[in-house]
Amino acid sequence: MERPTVTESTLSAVLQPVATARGLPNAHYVDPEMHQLEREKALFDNWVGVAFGKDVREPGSAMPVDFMGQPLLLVRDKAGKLRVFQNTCRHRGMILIEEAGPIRGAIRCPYHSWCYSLEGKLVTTPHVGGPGINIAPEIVREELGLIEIRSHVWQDIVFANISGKAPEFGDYADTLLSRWREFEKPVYHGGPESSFKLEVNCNWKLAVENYCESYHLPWVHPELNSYSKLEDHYHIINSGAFSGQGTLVYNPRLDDTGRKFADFDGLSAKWDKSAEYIALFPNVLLGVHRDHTFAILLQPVDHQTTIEHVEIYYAQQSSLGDDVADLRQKNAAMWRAVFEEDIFVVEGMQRGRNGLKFDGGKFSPAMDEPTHTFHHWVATQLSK
Amino acid sequence: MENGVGRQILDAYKRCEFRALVQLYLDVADDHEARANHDAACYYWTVAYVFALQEGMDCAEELRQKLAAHGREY
Repeated sequence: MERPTVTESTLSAVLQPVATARGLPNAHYVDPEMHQLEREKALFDNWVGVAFGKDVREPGSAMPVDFMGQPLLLVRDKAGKLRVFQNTCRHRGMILIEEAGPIRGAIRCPYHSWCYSLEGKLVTTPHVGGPGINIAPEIVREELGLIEIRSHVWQDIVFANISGKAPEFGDYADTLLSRWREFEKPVYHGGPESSFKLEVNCNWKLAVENYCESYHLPWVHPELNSYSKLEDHYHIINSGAFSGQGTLVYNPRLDDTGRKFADFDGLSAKWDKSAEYIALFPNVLLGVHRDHTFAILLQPVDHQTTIEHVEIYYAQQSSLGDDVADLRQKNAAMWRAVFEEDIFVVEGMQRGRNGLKFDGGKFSPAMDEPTHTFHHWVATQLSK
Repeated sequence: MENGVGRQILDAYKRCEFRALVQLYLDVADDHEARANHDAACYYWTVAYVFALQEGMDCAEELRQKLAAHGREY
């Protein structure tokens, strides 16, 4: 089957200013072939979040990750550097590691036992020159190490650039890194209750679109809206890499006795009451508050199924103590409830896009600019 | 290979006892080497070497040197 063409006229409506633009057409949500095209241009050519560093914490830890069909292998090497390899042996293409766990010495392919170091070097090739002969002139080990995928760890999120075509992560996310420079500090994962995933029946983009705007808050999150009203929110726009929204009234009350989590050190007064929620395109949803952060990695399973991997981190080690275990539980439950409230919306939008006469949708210039920013970004990636 | 050792090796495989496999293959290899069966010795040292590498055992380097001395490893 031929891939759908992305014509200038298809995307020109999306690339208009928000007041006159239309959203991405239905095909971008319901067509598996379009999904494949977006996989390459919007996801593989950019920095995608694929995992969290906490899951490969110790030297020798390894974890296989399937990201949109790409077999990846995360390994913490002996020096503590997190590396992302293609999880594929250079010999016959066998998957190297099937399950997460510690690697005591070398990564051994289970097929013919070619062995690789944690740094990806090909260490031995048993019997490659015949029984008991482990060398051969044609087998140049220096040329046959594991294929390393460009990666970058920020806020414990493991980003990968699968095609290798993206600019340096620091350049790509520069504006966001500057905006949140005050949060460039160690973060502490909240433990098992701060880790959950949601499988939703929608295209991955709908999760981004819903996350980055505040317009829906009064209708979909009435409890949240009871203390953080629509007028307390502001848009965050960066056409090159992210969009989102912020609130001016962050004031967590998890406990009647006044117990609370410790804040990050050295924050400016802005963060006393502000919190921000930003989608770093294409697939990482982030939230920062004075006392905790969270990240949601969107794992597109197919054009209409997405897994949201949610991890909550705290600003200080003291927030991991038993004395605030119940608060962590409440905080995680609160966020889980919020994210679950969004499911009917993203799944409803997915079903709605089977409507043949839907034209991509009309944006509100006042309220939908973050969403339009994301559509514009996707259209720009597909136009490259 | 002697039947008893062969059985021990199969048992170790079944239980994924790779460190035990290293010692078993090493013994078999050394036995062959003592009888000047260099090819067989290198075969079994190779298997021991692979599992020693996998397990991060110190003897991996010693095994590499043995194989290298016979021109079978770098």
